[in-house]
Amino acid sequence: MALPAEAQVADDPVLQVRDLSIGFRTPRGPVAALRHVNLDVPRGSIVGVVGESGSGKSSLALAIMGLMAGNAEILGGDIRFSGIDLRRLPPAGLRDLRGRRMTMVFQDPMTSLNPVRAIGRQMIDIQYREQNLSIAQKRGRSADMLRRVGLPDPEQQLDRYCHQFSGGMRQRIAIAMSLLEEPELLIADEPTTALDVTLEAQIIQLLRDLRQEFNTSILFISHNLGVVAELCDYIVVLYAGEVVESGPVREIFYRPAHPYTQALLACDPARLDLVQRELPTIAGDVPNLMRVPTGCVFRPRCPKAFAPCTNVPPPDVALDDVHHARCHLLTDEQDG
Amino acid sequence: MAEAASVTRPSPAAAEAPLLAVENLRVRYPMMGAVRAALQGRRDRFLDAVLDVSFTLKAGTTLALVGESGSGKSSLGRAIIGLVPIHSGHVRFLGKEPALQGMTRDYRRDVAMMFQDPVSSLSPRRSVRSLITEPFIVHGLSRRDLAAEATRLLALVGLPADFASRYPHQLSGGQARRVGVARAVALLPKLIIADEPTAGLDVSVQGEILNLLTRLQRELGLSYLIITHNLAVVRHVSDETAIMYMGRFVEQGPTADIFAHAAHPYTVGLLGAQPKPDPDRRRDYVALMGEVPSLARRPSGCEFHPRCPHAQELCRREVPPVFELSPRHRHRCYFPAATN
Repeated sequence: MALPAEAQVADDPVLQVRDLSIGFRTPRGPVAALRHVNLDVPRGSIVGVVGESGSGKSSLALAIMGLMAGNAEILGGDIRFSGIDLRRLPPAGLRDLRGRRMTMVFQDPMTSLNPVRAIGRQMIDIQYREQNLSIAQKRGRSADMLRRVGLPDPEQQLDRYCHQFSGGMRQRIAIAMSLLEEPELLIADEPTTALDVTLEAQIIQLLRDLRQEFNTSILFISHNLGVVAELCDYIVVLYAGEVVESGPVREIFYRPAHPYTQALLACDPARLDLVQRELPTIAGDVPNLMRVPTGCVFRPRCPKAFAPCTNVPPPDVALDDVHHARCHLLTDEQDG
Repeated sequence: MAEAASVTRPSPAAAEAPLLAVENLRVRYPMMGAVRAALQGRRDRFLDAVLDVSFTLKAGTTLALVGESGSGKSSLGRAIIGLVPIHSGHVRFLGKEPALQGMTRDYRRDVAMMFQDPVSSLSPRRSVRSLITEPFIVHGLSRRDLAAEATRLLALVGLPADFASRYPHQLSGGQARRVGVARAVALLPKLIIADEPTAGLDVSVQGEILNLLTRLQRELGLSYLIITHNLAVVRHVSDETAIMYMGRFVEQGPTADIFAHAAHPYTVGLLGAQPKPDPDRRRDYVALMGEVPSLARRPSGCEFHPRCPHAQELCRREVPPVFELSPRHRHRCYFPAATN
């Protein structure tokens, strides 16, 4: 299994999602946002969830954190965090985990940080569970954490407000806040999308260093294949609410099995060696999830679709013990 | 034949007559009022967003303007189209200087703008038909058959005709982008300034929008000024590239030259910072540390020296002039990388 030595993987996964289905009630009818999703985050690893807009990446993250919108509903399946069944946990139990053992970093720190409270106050506030620590101690811990994410003069920074920081610094602060309680699982939802590439590179490096330092597992949600390739150990490819392929990062990038993964990789202009004016695309649109296509969800856009794809949902084919893909072509290959 | 052609060929200057020529352009914004500046004893109360920028754009070609947030690339685009005032320098379009003539209606027809965020630049209360025919009404062409124009424009940008009655909230990001393209090409402009045309789009949709722009360039003879921070895209779609840092062009030239032998350390750093979609090729992290300094505290000498791995005493003292590697490939660095 292609996993770097620094990731100490224990047997029990930090996060285990099994057969998870989520629906949204809308005035125009139910939307099947996620269908039968399986996902494992092994302890100490970084797992990337890749997909286009509307593929259900953020719904998945919010479902794990128990932060789903009011009209969303878990229709079936299990979410286990360190062996704890999150669906059967009372709200108080979930609150105890959230922000302490599992935390989240959002895309836009300008909207996730409180604009009218100095960042030091916010960092002290989130340590409300530590009743044995004085305010001064909590402040000291906050300054330490800011230093570890690379903010110069952390003591002075604690009294500033989030509008006084640049975008890259704000995201560092958000990451510092998420790591204050040394969580087992950090969910990062597109944390670098709003940043310039130079800052993105610095944030990715920071996440990689922090993973080693804290042995935190990270579920990293992104639509950027380049970022996922360099940061993650495992990749889960979501398309229209279904996991179409999952496996170790090198398997996905060097031996993509699902036509959608192949098309997605082919579309990335950074992967084209020769300069070309006409860029590859994936023809067609993401299906409307109020009317999920029968059979394979990618069939309307798939260049390799054949008869069974129209009405038989493709099975989850294990290419090896960690690389899975849902495609009829793969069953064919195995039979032949 | 070839000899005859060379004899009758007009002088190079006339043959190369550019569509757009920008000379020593400077755009500045006031940081504070005159009274406050006087009270604080500040001699300079302005921020220079664009500083001493010169370039030409030939008809039918694409120039990509690349830089980090705050590098002044959007200010430059807006100054060309007249949305922010020019402090000094010249913008010449087909030999005329529109700023001196009060940005005539003809100029506004010839130069169109595609704004960064299509969803927020489209009025949420107007239908797609009304949005894409608005340019005709603004320019007093409302006697045309607007319904027919709407159908024509939708077909041109690859949207089904029934989208005319939709509203912006019913569009996906890529579809909203197409509506933005339709608005920009409605009056058959000569130049389109596209501010981050693919920001926030998925890779597959990004390719579709860029292919649409390429096709329209071929069919309508458009020129583009594309403002972006995505170098992976620039490499494929632009003829020339200019790299901007703190308001200056630190390097400009044919796109292939910039990518093959970047001269300025900032260009080298930006290229190195691009994510590499390959698990075994890591991007170069040491290349560019830190962030762009505030424009209010512009570093002395070369603005890039606080982040530059090769900075020398000279760089801290003197603003580098423009050096020419070839007539079209120019940079502002005393110690360029590709001086082989």
